[in-house]
Amino acid sequence: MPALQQTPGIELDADVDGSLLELVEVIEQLAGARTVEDVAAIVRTAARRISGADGVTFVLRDGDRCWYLDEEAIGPLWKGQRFPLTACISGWAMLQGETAVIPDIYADPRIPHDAYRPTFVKSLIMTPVRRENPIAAIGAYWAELNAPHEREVARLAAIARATATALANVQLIASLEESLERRDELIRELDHRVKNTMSAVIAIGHRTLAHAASPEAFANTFNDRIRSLARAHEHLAVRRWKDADLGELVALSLSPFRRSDDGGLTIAGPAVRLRPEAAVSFLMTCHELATNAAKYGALSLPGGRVDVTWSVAGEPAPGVLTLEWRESGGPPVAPPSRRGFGTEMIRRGFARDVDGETDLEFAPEGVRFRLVAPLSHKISAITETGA
Amino acid sequence: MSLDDVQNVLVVEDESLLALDLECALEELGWEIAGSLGGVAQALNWLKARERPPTAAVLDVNLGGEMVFPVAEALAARNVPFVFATGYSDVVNRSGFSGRPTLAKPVDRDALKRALDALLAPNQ
Repeated sequence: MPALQQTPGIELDADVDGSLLELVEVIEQLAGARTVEDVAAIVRTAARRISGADGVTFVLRDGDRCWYLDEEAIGPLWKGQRFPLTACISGWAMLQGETAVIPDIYADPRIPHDAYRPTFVKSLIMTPVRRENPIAAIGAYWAELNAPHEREVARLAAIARATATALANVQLIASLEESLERRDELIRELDHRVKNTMSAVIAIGHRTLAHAASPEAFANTFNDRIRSLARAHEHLAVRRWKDADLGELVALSLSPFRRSDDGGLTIAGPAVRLRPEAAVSFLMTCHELATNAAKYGALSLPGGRVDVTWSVAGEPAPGVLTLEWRESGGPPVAPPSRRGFGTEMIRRGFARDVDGETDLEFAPEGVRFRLVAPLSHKISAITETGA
Repeated sequence: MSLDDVQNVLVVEDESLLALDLECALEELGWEIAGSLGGVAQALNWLKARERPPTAAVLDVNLGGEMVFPVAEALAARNVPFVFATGYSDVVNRSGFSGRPTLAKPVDRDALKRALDALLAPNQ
């Protein structure tokens, strides 16, 4: 590569050269900043050196307030304090998206004079960071009148542009770190769910085996229960494991037993959301009710009815969910001769998980089940608006 | 056997399905279920309200996000032996209970029996 030839007659102005290098250095430092505090520390030092001001502040927009995050000055300014955007010049600069150049602060009505009286400040420049929708501002202050000139304004504006990029980088890094943390959290969560599911399958296997009359009976009941568990998982997966809809879970539990001739099914109540863990035990509880209805109850005969209704009272607080499962039109009901796992699950499954109380009655005209549970983070009622 | 001789066990497990199964397993091993609770506050209240502490306890470690350790402390203060059940043994190791017996979840019947027998061994 040929050596650069210096054009005769043009010599780089030493002052311009020096401040250019200083600016480049600041931009490099800002490019490496990882936190807002890093940015603030770089800006307050660099802005003061490059503008030659007696003091510099770095102000962040915090909702409808300006937050004097950092400062470097010959005397104390407002570090750590927050003021309404409408009551300070940094707020004005951020709201207008314009630089304020004020040669005499006590002659300018935009300045809250009381806040400045204890300080050394007589003149200032306040420049917003980011032209569109400013997120911060940099202030430069002088102890004499008429100090800031065009050159200082231009230099501060250059620093402000580099700061805007640096703050965007900081946000990007923060959101990346957050995503990575979220990913690790999801993996842990998944591991937890898989282990729980394994445990649940083993528990169901044990309990089903303990009461099964034959290998075939075991296989059928076990299959049905695991399928029910799988349906609960599918419902939750579709909703990205956020929550579950109580009404849909009731419908899911009954879906394997529905026939074309079952005119008699009511599933009615307000929108109620369940946390994933509670959703699994709720569906398992309903599954046992539905299985019992299909084998011995209302769903074992054409014309039998199942009415599942629920309501929420006292919402929002303390709030109570009351759910009723009523069968009718089936064969006469007799209480089971022994307490199996299904009955235990109905009485104590979901209810135990949500601190609820249950009442299971094998009335001759049909099974009746009633559950009363307090609303909590596991059960919440959704108030429909604009319905 | 007098009433005092009945070995009864406290179960703390947040998932009802697993709790029901654990209760049945314990009953099959000849234990009486003294109580079965799903949360720290419920278990502590249960202990407080009870005149005679249970003979032993089986404690699931992670109860829907809250750790069972306050219950373990209350049991230790009453000299009730207990065994943890957890899918995450490192959580117990990092707690103040690292020396305590721990069962891996899903809990194996034989391991449960051995752990409970060891709890009641005279010079444990």
